[in-house]
Amino acid sequence: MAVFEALKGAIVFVAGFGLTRLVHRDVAHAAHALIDRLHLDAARKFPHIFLQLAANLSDAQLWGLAVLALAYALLRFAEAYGLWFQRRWGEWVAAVSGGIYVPVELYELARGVTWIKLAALLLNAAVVAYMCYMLWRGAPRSG
Amino acid sequence: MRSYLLISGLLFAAVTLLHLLRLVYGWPAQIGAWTVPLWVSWLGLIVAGSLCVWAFALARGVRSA
Repeated sequence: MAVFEALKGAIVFVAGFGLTRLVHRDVAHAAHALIDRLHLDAARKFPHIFLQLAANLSDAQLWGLAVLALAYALLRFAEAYGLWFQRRWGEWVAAVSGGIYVPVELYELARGVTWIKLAALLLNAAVVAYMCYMLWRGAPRSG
Repeated sequence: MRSYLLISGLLFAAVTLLHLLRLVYGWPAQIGAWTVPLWVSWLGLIVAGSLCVWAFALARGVRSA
């Protein structure tokens, strides 16, 4: 689980770095290029929202998003460190940071059931349950 | 000993991230007249990543010993 959290941190770090590269550039054009590259239909709901958001992004907002991505990545790296070295606080971070998504995932599921939403909820709930169990047990374990 | 292993692990983690960034964004790299091909970063990613995990695994063993 520690390695998985570190990988998540690395992915967000790389993505956040990509945001800084878009400063002083045409973000809308880059968003269109990304949509094309992923072979998504720009007229559909979510790609359309993404394109609209990208078209209205200022440089300051891009820097803000990049800083948020960096903060998230650092949190994930710290969590990975805590889990790897079997620290109690690492398990707390994992349980809380996973748990805050559960209400959102339940809300999304209530709006319409899809396999992706269901899988995301089940996976996240399993991780949170495992972390809660470890905290409750408080015994030596492998990371 | 543990501090040394942790610092080694962090340094290798930084090198791994740099190779990952180069692979994702296609950064050019040059040593003298030689243009370093991108596949070298795949090698660097695997080697530095492995050394990073190794250092942290050893650090964990030192702690529990």
